[in-house]
Amino acid sequence: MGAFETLTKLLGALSPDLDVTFGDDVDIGDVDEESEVRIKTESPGEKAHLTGETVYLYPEQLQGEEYVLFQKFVREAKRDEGEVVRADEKDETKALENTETVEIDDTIQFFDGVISDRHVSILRSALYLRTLSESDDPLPDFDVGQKKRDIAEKYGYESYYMIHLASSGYFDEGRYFRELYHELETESDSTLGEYRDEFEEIIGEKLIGTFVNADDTTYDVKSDVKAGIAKHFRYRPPADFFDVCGMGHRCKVTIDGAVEDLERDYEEMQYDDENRNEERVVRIFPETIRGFGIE
Amino acid sequence: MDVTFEKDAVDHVLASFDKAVDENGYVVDGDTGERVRTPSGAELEAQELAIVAHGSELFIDDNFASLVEHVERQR
Repeated sequence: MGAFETLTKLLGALSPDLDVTFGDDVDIGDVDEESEVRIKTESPGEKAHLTGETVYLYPEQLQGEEYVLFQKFVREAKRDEGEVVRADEKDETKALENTETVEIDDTIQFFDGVISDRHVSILRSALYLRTLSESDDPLPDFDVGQKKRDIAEKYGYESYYMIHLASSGYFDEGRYFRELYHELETESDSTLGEYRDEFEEIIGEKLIGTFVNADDTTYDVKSDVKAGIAKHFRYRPPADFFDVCGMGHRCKVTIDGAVEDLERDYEEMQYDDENRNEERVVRIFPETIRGFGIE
Repeated sequence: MDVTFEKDAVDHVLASFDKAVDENGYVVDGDTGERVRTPSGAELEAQELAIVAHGSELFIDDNFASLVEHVERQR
């Protein structure tokens, strides 16, 4: 017997009960294998309710054999469908299942075994997050900030930096982290260990750039850049740049203001515009201001 | 047949799989009382249960990264 048959049996067992109500003009015969079933407890004294295509079950109200049938139905639904999902996670789970993964798989394949398993897991979640948040058909109420916090809660605080980097494409084909691997590959016999050390230091110390939020002020960004460049001098990463990145008009204005201020303070500072689509990116070359007070 | 549950009905879904909730809100095995773990080895708070998946009966929490792991496992 499958979930549908058990549901029919359960509803049949409930029908004679005065506590069971059904929506207007709908009877039990309208329940079919395409119907949706929603399990909830808040019930206005009902055991089940049928509205359109959705059957609402209220297990709190079920007794004896009814409850046994309900539990059987849940187990069979899991067996038939492969899973039973919390209603408010349904859309997100579906969206994740339907995500186009060619680029994600390509990136994960490149870095799998190159960086640690934990960093691969962070990267995978970050790439899914990028794909969902850039979707043409965005999920309603999809809270990107909460998803970032989820990833950080699971894998640690440095997830935030990796999420920013992944979102800005630093792990993509032809971009910094892959190029660094190829560079070390041609220069050294111990590519993997060396790469992993460099990678973990870059991520842990945030050595190749800073990411600007809409709430940041020009002063915040200027301070972040100076602190980042000071670290760059201290740790000497294998990158000759420090990027300042931000999405949207507000961030662009803030970044431009901060760069103007920095230029005033450090006349020798050299930088390039490296804008990518909607993202404002200023690539500063730290060596051009070494010895001018940022140490 | 698309079957979903609301957060307030978690206890009843868990009971269907012989699981219960202890006094601290964690999912436990109904027979042994041992705390159930997610595929990544974490103890699971009942209010965070997002998916009960088929296979060796997997209980998935509602963290975005856990959902990504789950989807990857299903591929």
